[in-house]
Parts: sequence; C-alpha cells; structure tokens
Amino acid sequence: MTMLIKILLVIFSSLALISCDDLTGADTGANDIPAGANALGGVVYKKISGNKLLFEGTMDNGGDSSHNFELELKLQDDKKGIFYFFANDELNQGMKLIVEKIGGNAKITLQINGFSHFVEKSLPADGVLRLSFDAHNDHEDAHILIWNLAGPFDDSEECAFDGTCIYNTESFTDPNPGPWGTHGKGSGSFWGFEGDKEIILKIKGPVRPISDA
Amino acid sequence: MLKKIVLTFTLLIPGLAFSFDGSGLQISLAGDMVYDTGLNSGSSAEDKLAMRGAEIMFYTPVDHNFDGVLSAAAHDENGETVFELHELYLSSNKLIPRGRVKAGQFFLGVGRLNQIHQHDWPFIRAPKVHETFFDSEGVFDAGIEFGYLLPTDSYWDLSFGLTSGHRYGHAHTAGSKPSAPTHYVRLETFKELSASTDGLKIGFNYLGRTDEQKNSMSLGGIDLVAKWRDGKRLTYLLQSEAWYRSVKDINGDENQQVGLYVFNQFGLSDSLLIGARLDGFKDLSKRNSITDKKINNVSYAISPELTWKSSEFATFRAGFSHSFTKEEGKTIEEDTRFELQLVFILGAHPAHNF
Repeated sequence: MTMLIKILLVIFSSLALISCDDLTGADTGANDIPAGANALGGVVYKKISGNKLLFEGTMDNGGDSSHNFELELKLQDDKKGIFYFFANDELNQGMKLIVEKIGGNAKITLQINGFSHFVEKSLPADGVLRLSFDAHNDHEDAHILIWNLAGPFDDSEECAFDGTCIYNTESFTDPNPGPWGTHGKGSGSFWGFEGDKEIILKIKGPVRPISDA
Repeated sequence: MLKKIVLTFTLLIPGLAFSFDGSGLQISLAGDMVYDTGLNSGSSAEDKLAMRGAEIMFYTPVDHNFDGVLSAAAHDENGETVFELHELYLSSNKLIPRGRVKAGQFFLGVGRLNQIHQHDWPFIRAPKVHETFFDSEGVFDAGIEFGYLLPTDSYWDLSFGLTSGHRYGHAHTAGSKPSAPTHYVRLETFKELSASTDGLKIGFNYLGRTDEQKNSMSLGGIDLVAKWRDGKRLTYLLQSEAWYRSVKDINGDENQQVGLYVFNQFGLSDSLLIGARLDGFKDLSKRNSITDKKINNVSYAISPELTWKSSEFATFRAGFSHSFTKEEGKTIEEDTRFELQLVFILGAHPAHNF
C-alpha cells in the first residue's frame, strides 16, 4: 500500500507541473483569425508557396484520424483544381483530389503516395459538382469514400458498383477497383488547394466523418 | 448382434474420450454483446445491440517443450460480421532457463489492455488513449517475443518483441513492408502488498515502428494494476495506463499526443462490483494553420459502471459514459450514452497471470 501511495504521489505531483490552461483547454487566442483574412468558399485561407492555399482547420491527432469534407465546385473547361488533405503545412505528403472538366464530364482523380486513379462523372444541369469526401486516415492504408453531397452515403465494398457512392478505395472489384491496398496514408494534419480558385463555390471541413467503416 | 453393438460402443466410447482428453486440447468460446444508446444529440452511439465479438480459442501443450494457441474472432463492423485470426502461436517456457519465447501471431506484449482479450476487460469500451494508439481492441502482429525473468531478489521481467510491422492498428488491407518493423520492450515488476492475495504490477513500455512512407512512430507508456482481495473476492481494483506517442514524418515534422485512464473498482459482494473510469487525452502539437499557434485542447471522459458476475463465465455490465473535447475554451464534441454489456464464456478459459 505504501508503494502505491508513493506512485500516486508522483503522478499527482507530475500533474501539478502542468498548467491549468493545459488541463482545461482554455482559450489562448490560437484560433483568433486576423480581421480581413482571405476566404474562399466560406473557409479562411493563407497563401503559401507558389499558387497553394492553406485552409483553416486542422485534423485531429496529428492526422491519425477520420474527417469529412464538403465541396461544391463549378467546373469549367481548361480549369483545374487540386485539393490536398492530411498534408503538411507546405501541402506535401498528403492525399490529392484533382477535379477538372473533360468532355462535359467531371474527371475526379485521387492520388495518395504516388498511387493514382480516376473516375468520370456526369455533371448535373447546373454544372455544379457537389461532393462529400470522407477520408479515414487512421487506417493503415487510408480509406477514402466519395459520395454525392445529397447522399446516399453507402460505405459497403459494392457501393461504386451499386451506384450508391462515387468512389471507394476499398472497392476491390469492378467497375473501379483502383490501385489501392498498399498506398499508405497522409502524414500531415492540414488541408488546402492549388489551381483555379474560381471553380470553388463552397467548401467545408474538416468535420466528423459520415462513415465509420 | 445386439451384444456386438453394445460391446463395440463399450470399447469405442472410452477410446474416443481418452484420445480427446489425452491431447490436452482446451476449447473456449466467448460471446460479447454491447448495447448503447445516445443520451445527447452529439452522441455517436449506435442505438442498437451489437454482437461485438465472438471468439473461439484452442490451446494445448503441443509436446513436452511447446504450447500452441489458436484464437479467432468475429466482430461486428458496420452490421457485417467479419471473421479474423487473432492469435496463432507456438510458445515455450522450457527451452531457456528463466526465459520464454513465443513465435507466430499474437497481441503485442505491451500495456495492460493490449494483452487481454476485449471480453475480459473490467469495463465496456476502450479508453480514448487506447483506441487512438492501439485501436478499439488491440494491436496484433506476426513475429517473435522473448521474455526473461531477471535473476534479482525482487520480481523483474524483461521482454522484447519484433514483429513484421506491415500493419499497425486499424487495417482492412495487407499493409506494406515497413522501413523499420514493429519492435517493443517491456519491463515489468510485481510486488505483493499487505497480504499474499494483494498485489501491484507495474509495466514500463516502449514500442517503435517506421512505415513505408518513413513515418516514424514511438510510443512510451506505464501501466499499473493493483488488486486487493478478501479470499477469492476482489475488494478493490486500481488499473491505469498512461501513454505518450510521437510520430515524425520524412521531413522531420513531429506530432505528439498524450493520454491516460484511471479505473477504480470496488467489490460490493462476491458477484457485484462498482467502478468508474476517468480518461484524459491531449494532442500536444495541434496548431492553427492560419495563425500558426498551438491549439489548446483536451478530452475527458467519465464512465461509471456496475458489474454483476453470475459466475466467472457470465458477466453483465451497465454503465454511463460522458465524454467531451474542449478546444480553445469551446466544447467542440460531447457524447453522453448508456451502455449494457453481456459477456459469456463456454468451456475452459485460460487464466490471466494477474
């Protein structure tokens, strides 16, 4: 019993060394965005190297987590956008979602650690591509699900075949099996954009994932 | 004719019984059902009874030197029951004096919860620190583990493990060859307390791995279990684990998290136990991408539970859980839920060492 009391004393003494702010999650001003900050599609951004924009919003657990993102994009001929997820603060080491308009359809390309695959999707009458992007980066190989923003949000392996999702990296049979299985995951906790920013109507993220698959 | 049939059965039945018992094969089946329902709008409880785990385990001495274990479990994953091999290993504590060796696939020998099957945990759900660093049940892998009881006056046990590291934690894929395989070391000590039935076990753990993308993970932690008994009855259990994780990517960018849980349980009678668990978790390196300042955050959970053990083979548990995450002074997540658990075991069940 004496030994246990000594151990508990050490634990509680250690806790006393941690500040109250750390233990209560108090406001330190880290999220105070300067007035007049640039925003795109409803999200504040900071311009970094080249044409890259770093968005506000940080993934949990250093990127070892799952999050959902909503994208509403007005694609145009000869315009292209690259979204980065779970990337570092220079928008490297993450996963890329490349969207462009080819032959009247949306071409959606997913790239993770050198692995790449794309699908084509017809655009609605208003020409706006509305996507819900679920990225599960807390798996050994990141699990990505893409749906229409209005749903349905099926996460079964057959969802791409059944037409209940647009894309699933854990679809291992046709129509879109992709090169997935040993692709690893993003190693950062930020998201951002590069390309023609006029295609962005509205974006949102990172929020709680829709699927827990 | 009748005499021949009777004679045949008379000779055959004891023969069958002998061959079964003679092998020493022990079979254990465990069922683990959990019902949860959310009590607030932010709860992610599923409001259903889930067949969380069904485990079958075979274990037996293989010969005079080795023991063999096979365990497989079916889990509910989004309404689909997924079957997977958990453990398949050969072990021996007879080949090397004071030493033991294990080869095959097994739960990594670090921490407390990671070495115990989920249905044997003293509470319903994994603490956040365990779920984040070791997945909702535990991390298993294929490799080798060697343990050695140090020749000291007091009890000190040192173990090392080296496993493939192709996968770590939650995975639906085969993973890929890591840059550095999963490796771990654990130093464990045990001390008898006031009576011979009371004891305290403390483990010091380190685990490392570098994945194919050169993300280098280091985990360090302490686990503690103390039990007080009155005869065979558990009167008080204290169980706690504290872990720190660091992950460095190829550019040297580092992120760190720290978490712990403390569980206290009191035996009200031979079959009734009451306990509560406090969880804490903190992401030490989360920062705002625009201001580049560290985001102050902390997660807590409190989970009181009541356990009724009809016997060592049937356990019923009911509990509440309230968890929340605060970030920069704002509560960004809150989850309050009610949970029920039913665990039953059929057949023999291997004892845990403490």
